[in-house]
Amino acid sequence: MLLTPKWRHRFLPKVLLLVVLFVSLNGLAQTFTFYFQRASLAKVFAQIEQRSDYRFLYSEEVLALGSPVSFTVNNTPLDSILRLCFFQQPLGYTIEGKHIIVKKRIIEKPTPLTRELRGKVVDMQNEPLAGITITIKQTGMATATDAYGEFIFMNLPVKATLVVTGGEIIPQEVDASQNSYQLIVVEQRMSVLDETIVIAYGKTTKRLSTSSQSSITHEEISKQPVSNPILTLQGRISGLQIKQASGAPGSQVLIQLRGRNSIANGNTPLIILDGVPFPSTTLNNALGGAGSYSSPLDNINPADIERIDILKDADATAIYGSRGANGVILITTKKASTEQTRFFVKLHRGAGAVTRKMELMSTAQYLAMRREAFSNDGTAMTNSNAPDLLLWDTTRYTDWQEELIGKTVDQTNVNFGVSGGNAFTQFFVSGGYYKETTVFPGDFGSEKINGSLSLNHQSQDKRFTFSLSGSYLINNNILPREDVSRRITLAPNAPRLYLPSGALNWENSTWINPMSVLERWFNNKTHVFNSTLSIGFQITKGLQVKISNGYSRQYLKEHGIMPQKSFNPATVSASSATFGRTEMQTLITEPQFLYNWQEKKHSIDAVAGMTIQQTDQQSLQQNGTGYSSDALLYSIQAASTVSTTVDRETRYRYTGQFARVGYQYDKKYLASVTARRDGSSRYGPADRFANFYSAGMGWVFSKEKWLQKQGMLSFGKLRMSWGRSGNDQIGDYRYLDLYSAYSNAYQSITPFYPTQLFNPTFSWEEVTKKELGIELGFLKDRLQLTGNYYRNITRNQLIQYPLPTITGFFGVLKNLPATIRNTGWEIELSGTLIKKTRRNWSFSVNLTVPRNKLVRFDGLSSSSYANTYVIGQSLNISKRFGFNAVNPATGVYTFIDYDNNNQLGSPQDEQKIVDGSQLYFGGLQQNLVLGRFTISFLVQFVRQPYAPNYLVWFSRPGSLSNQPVHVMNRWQKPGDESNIQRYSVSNAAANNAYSYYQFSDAGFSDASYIRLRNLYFAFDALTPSLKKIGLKKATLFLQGHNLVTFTSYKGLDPETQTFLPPVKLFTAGMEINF
Amino acid sequence: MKNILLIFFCTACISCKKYLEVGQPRTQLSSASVFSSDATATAAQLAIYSQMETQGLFFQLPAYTGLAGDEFRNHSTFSDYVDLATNNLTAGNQLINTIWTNLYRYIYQCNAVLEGIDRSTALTPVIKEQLEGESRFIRAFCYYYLVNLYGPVPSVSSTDYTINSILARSPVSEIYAFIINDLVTAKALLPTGYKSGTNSSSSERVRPNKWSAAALLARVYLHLGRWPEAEVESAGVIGSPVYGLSTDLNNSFLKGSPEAIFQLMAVVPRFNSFPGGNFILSAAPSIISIAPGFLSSFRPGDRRQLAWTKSISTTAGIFYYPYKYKVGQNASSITEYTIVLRLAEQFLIRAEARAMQHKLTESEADLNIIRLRAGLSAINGLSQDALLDSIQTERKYELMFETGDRWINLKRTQTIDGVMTPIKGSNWNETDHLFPIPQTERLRNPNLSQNPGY
Repeated sequence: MLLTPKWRHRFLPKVLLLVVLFVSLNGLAQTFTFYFQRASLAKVFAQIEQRSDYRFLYSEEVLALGSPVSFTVNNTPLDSILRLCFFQQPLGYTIEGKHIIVKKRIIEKPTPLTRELRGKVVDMQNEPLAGITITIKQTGMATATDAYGEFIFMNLPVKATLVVTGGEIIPQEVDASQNSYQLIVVEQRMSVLDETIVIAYGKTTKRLSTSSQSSITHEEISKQPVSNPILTLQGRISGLQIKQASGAPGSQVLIQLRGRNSIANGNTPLIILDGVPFPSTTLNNALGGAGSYSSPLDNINPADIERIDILKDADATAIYGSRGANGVILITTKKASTEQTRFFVKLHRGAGAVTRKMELMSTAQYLAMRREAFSNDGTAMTNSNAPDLLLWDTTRYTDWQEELIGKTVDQTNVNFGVSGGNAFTQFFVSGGYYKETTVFPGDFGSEKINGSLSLNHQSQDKRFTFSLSGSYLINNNILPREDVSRRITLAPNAPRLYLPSGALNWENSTWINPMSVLERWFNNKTHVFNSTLSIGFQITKGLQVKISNGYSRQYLKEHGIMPQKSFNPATVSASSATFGRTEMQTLITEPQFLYNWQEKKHSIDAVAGMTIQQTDQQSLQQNGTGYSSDALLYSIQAASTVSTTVDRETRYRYTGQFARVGYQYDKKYLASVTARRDGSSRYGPADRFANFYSAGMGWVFSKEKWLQKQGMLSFGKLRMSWGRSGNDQIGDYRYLDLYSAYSNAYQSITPFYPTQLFNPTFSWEEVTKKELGIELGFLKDRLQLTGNYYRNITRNQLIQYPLPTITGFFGVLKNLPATIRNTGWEIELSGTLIKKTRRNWSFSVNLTVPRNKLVRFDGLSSSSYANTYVIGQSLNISKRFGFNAVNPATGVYTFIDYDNNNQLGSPQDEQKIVDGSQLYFGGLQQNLVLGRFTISFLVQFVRQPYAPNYLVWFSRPGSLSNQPVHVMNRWQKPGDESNIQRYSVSNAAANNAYSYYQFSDAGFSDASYIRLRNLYFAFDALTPSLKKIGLKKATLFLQGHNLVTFTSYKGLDPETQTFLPPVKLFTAGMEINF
Repeated sequence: MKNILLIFFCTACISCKKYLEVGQPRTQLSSASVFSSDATATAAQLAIYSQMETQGLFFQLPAYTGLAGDEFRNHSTFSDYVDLATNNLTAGNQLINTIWTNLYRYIYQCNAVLEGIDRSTALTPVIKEQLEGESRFIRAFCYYYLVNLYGPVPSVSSTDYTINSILARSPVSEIYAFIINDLVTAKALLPTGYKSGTNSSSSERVRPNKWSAAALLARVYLHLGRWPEAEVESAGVIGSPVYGLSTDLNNSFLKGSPEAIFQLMAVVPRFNSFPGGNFILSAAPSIISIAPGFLSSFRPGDRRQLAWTKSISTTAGIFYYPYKYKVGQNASSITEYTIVLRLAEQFLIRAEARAMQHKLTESEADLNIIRLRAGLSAINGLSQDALLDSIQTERKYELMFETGDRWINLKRTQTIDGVMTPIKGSNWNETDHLFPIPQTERLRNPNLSQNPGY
């Protein structure tokens, strides 16, 4: 069928709705308006019969027992009217179909209303089961079993039905025993395949899902002592690369799902916190602490998170349309759910240090190197070129790594919460405090405090649901402005830091005292407020209408100072301060219809809805200079000169309609289709709307008869999906013909100049995603294997298209026929080897083998990317000089002369390609429960053959700068074969060669690593005596993070590479639940 | 119920389009809103002047042509400077690219102003005329340098990049016709007085007026050998009571100098004129100093040597630098503005135009005004050829280190090969008259040809 886009836009949603809304509105929902004054029941019944097709059945004698009634009703449903009629009558009624049968009421003898019942829940092996929920069907009261599988009801109605539910068991209902003790034997659920998983706008189970998705729950999150919840995913999710930019608290995290899709635009997955898009890239302006910007995700308390779901393929992400190209991460926070009043508190405290240090020269080795360098070059030592040899104390030794990044990190984390309510209304209130200091000397670190509230309500008939949640977090982060780890190259005999008077020692201006740099700090104060409100109403049995609304606000206050005292007093200096403010507000509303229908073996699940979103962002940054005193650096007014460096205000609006229809036949054949039409204000009026769609199919072949007879394979599903999603991470207003203020006023007028050539017709970057997956379960699903192969192709790359400058500019934003292909294999294997309540051993392994390739880029050689990318290679490459060897005659590095002109030139000799891609990565997780002890660990591995190494910031061997000890294998005399050139101070050939060396492939090292990312050891301290005083849980635990790393990386840490290494942390804590 | 939902969805869909209209960012202006008020439209024109000053055009023009020519000596080891000074330019030379890029950016901004005011209905007619005149003047000014430095160049007269990005080079004669048309129009549109940033009359000479257009027009006519027209235009400027030559050479480049026809305001705090800030040496030069050969050619008694050049003595030797502007960086007050056009040139133009028309006495009178101020004796009764030679000599010293006049004038008078060959030796080729068309431009625009020799 050929439809014009316009036609599709206008009619498709309606057609879908017609399907969804095919419902009957007759029945008890019919309403009446009556006025009765002392009317006989017979008269009332006659009136009702007249206006509806209900018929009353009664005998005259029985009806005679009733007394006349008086009431006024307006648009009232029948069942309410019947309740009025029979109120305090000796009569009762039942409805059977269209008949209302009136009978004499049998008055029951008063019996004792409640009693006490104790009980225990065990599995088929007679092992007690903890955490099983038992609800009294009649009253809605509920409790849960404790660690011994026991439960107690104090006020059980005499006749009661117990509903037994729990994550791992098959739900069942049992009539409460008339005795005071009851043993309930339950059958454990066959498989984790039936656990609920969260998908876009809904839920499903792993068994019946047609999409590719991974998740982790609060159980795994809570075992990790990290402050940024995204870091809890490291090594646990196939296809997801997560890399901390720096070990400083709150620093940015690079997140990439299934590779890089875009050359010039955003590559981070869409992050959705409780339905509200959450910023994934920094909100910092020009500032940042310790050399890195801050991550907004650090402002979510991991303890508040219930689960994180990572949506990968087209079937899972196409419903996010223009935002789904880079995958979607759904973060769901903990919600109110229990009726019993519960209180929990969890606290831990620990200490940490950098993961890795480098082996640097001792004073003796260093001084020998310096002397050799001077003698090699025949250069005379002077006070200015050799203060370390002539002026400084040559017997001193300072381990600058210890001094500058050696402080012990102190981490404290406290979380507490209260939950409770009744069968219809529940609440959950929690709070947290987190503090982490840094490895830098001085009073730096991050301090966070947060609170959250969640409220759930449902009507007695469960048709109306309401949930409200809100959280507020304040993060106060103070870091040095500079990443001080770069200064570990200080000479080991560098002077002392402080004079006896306590003042900084400048040693007659012969060095830069690193402590002065630490006087320059950057304070990032963030306030984050998130809130969601969701209201649902069950219109009919299969149809629910729901509206979710969200509001989030991020407010960032930045303050950085360069005080006078951070400068050498002997040199001219100028103190300055920078002030920044960024505010980002998102408002989103998503009305939705959810529909499901089942008949015999057919089942349909559908959702249709729309999104309206607005995000406003304002940024202002000002620099003040000319302060008369350091004490005034907190005031912009005290600056004699103020300049505004950032003044930006943007508005982003987004709207879309979406629908998904899932169909299942006999839980064997599965199909799902999604469609989305999106509009984004980031595109010009002609190209605002685009359509995205996907189709997914699944075949649970293990349900086929021919596989039923064997016992090995318990589950087998083949699934495939195909679809399109888009990338709108391109920034705002880029289609507009904009003028900006020019900073230099002319005739006291602020001039305006055109900032860009405008192309009002650029369009969306589109990713076509294909995936083939297989999911297998063996031995009653105790062993599970998932394998995925994906192939994502991004076309229509939106890049700054180079133009001749006679057009006034260097380029214009335009869609180019450039294509990027991401392919990869993902394998996840998990299993439970021993499964008993107090003896449990489970494991999981994941492995990802990704490949990224630039397939096509027309006009690459004339573009600004000519020296960056190569067609046929990945986007992660660097083009560098090719390091050859040390010339045995001169002792100087030599390089490949690609253009054979006997001199090195950039870019023509920068032809050596190093690919910084991760070739494969994954993790191995083990979880062992033995009696009261739990031990779990996660080992993460990454294979990355090329990453920038220490050469980035180490100067030449021989210069006034410490070196790794391995440079001692240097060239010493003609004829030596070595990989390290001669020591030198002023030899021009050696100096030039070293700067080429830094920019050659030698500046890259293998950054593969295997790391014990997480270790968790817990002891269940709940004793019967503690139980008596009301404790439900008492756990003591030890946590380790980044404890052991195996790597051959040349530098500090293979993850953060040329920045401050991550923290190796060890904490101890306890958790108590009442 | 069904109906309600349908209505809800229909209105939702229809309002989507409207909903996505976010307008423009409030911290920036769209082109339409820039040209919706006199003040903002003027601000768009003023941006060009502010950029011309801060982006250093009036350092680049004299410095680069002076290195390629005979005024300056190179001290930089950076290959772009070395190649320029040895007339070994390649099409990848960043210095030459910068001038090209900046001039075309100003042309784009002029075109944007011209299109903006043309579309706008909200502007006051007199402001429209003022801005059109200024934009046409600046556009002509940019093309004058493009055509003289690069030869035939693409003639860009709109902001449409789809057309502009594939333009071929137009013949020099067409460019000149375009320049003359712009200047004649500008002269007719612009007032005789100067305007301030708020379009009231101003004592500062920092926005072009009618006489600015006439002065440039006089130069263009002279260039094309249209002597009577050159005489008329320069006479118009000289006759204006606003201008006069200051007797003290040290005052010529002050802000508000009576000699100034058009100046660029100093816009960076504590920074006077851009050329002053960059030519004046406080240590041994790292880029340029005055060529010793140029310095030694000064005739005894020429006061301009003392007033307009200065030396600095360093351990590496004595170096000379232009001293027309006397204030370097970090000044406590602003006393100097960059001169774009000044009256002295108009006397030289009229002298040459008159000499060419055999009005030798009148020509000598004009020339003597310049000579006498420089401390030289008056001339009298020279032959036409000798007079013309003398005019060229005065041009050399009067307009040295300013806007590349010497380089362009040597080419105009076809004396450049004779001057350069003895100085540059075998490095000098006839093809060095023109700078190369930047390589990146040719990569991005297949219709752009290269000058011979590159």
